[in-house]
Amino acid sequence: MPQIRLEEVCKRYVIAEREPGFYGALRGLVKRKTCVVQAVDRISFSLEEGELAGYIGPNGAGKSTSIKLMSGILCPDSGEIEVMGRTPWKQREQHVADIGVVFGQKSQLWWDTPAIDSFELLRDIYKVPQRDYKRRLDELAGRLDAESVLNTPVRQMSLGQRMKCELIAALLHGPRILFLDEPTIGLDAVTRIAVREFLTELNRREGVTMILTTHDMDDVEALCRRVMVVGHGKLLFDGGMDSLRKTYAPNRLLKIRLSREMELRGLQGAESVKRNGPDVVISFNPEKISAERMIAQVAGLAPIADLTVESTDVEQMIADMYRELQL
Amino acid sequence: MSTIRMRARPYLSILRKTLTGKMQYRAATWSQLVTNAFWGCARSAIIVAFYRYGSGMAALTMEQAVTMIWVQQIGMNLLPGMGGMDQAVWGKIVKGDVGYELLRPMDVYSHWYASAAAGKIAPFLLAVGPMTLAGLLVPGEIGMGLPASAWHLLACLLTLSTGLVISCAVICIGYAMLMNVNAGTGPANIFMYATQILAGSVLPLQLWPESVQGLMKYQPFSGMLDLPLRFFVGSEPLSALPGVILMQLIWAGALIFIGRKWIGRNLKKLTIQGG
Repeated sequence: MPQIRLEEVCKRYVIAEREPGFYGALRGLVKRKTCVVQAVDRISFSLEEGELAGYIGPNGAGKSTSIKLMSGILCPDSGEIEVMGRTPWKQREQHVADIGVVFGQKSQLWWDTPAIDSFELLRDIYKVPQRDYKRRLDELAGRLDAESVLNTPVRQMSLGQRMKCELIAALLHGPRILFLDEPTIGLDAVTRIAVREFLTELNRREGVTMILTTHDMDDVEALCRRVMVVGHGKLLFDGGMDSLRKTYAPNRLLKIRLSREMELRGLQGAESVKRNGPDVVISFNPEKISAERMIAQVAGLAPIADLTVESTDVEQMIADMYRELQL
Repeated sequence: MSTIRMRARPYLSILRKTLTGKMQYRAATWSQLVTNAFWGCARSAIIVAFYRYGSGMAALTMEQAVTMIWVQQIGMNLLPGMGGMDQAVWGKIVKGDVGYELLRPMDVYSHWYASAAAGKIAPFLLAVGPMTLAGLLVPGEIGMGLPASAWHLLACLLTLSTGLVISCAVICIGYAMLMNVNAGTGPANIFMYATQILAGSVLPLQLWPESVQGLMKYQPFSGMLDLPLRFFVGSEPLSALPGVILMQLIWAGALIFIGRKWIGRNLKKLTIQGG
């Protein structure tokens, strides 16, 4: 039985609109226009225990709303959600005791006291026994390399330090499911990698199910075996990273540096050839022509100084995909 | 017993956390006390002027009225919307951080009620000692007087604590109003200020016109501040104590019922802003 199951879930928001400027505000006092935004539009999927899924989509696609629906803090307009056999917004109290959530753009730590104070408050709120709490905190802080900042007031932490503490806060009560809404937003490369490694480890060692929304495609590549793409509230793709590639970015890029500048003519099977001085980028579909034959062809035409074969940049792929689907 | 302690644990923890959080702002705490004391003097001086140059009868003597002003300066910390500490939850609702609040395995109303109580008790405890001292040290007519008797003081403290039950219920109704984000913070603010005035924080209710005295005494918000203070200065007999407490509890029950229903209803159609 899947651990998380969504069936035809819909959520709409009513947004008040007004014309710009003072006059608009004045008119708004009398007459208010509202418009309805379909944030989540009949989304269905299910997740098994221990899965680590990426949930991606452009801004305003309904990612955060989906996370909020699954964590039980929003109530859907229609459809069914079942998490660990419970309906999140109906059995909210039992439900939230078993999940952890990190909203990358918000903070659950008390702003003006050391992080450790917030952790102790959470310990009491989730009724974690002192011994378990101590062991868990030491372990999490150790793995995130955050022991030194536990006594720093949250407002004086760097973003990276804070995010590590947010992760600890979300995991102190040992949740079985972790929802992460843009956990790496604004982090530097080192911290980002540290957070990624921590999450992978957590998923592997403790079997915590995770759903992660992000705009960072490196996150998705590094962490997720399964990807879900949403746009305009609809689920557009659900499957492995490989099949996402195969469908939306089947081409490989052969990047070559030539020993001397020259034209490459009559390449067979190349979808496109871009030349910039001695650098040539050839795009080809490996289903039609193997990389080996492509390289042999080029080697027959010109002297090669250096070469690499790459997949299409995920970021580019997603951008193309958004464009193709007109999101 | 131990289950009660387990159940109370999160709420006590919130109270402790709010108190320590508030105390670490030394400069803010002291400057607030100084401001409070200054206002105590200024408001007392106004009262004195009214008694000197006004004509007619009042239900309070001048000494009683001035003392009431000083005790108000302390007790006001328990009123909704005062001292900025309701903002723990207030800010979260307005900025959309309320999501995290709903992620805690606690009943939402109880959680917010406890936060509201913590936010009121903490500044009150910090103010009560220094402000009493300040009031007693101010010389002459505008200084604070002693309670009518030790029993009157006790009656005042007792009814202030039952008054706090009302006050927190009022704050929670304010939260319920805020949850309709499209309406902005206006309605909740107006509501809070209205209850402050009806609690007698601008003018002791006994100095209001004769014709509204009955109404003023028995409306829900007088129990938050004015009635307890009447015991302090002795303008309400001790024999009225059981009746006052009963009235406070009835109003508190009604307001808690309304707030609980309202917040429960709003949770279902909540919009969580941003992100």
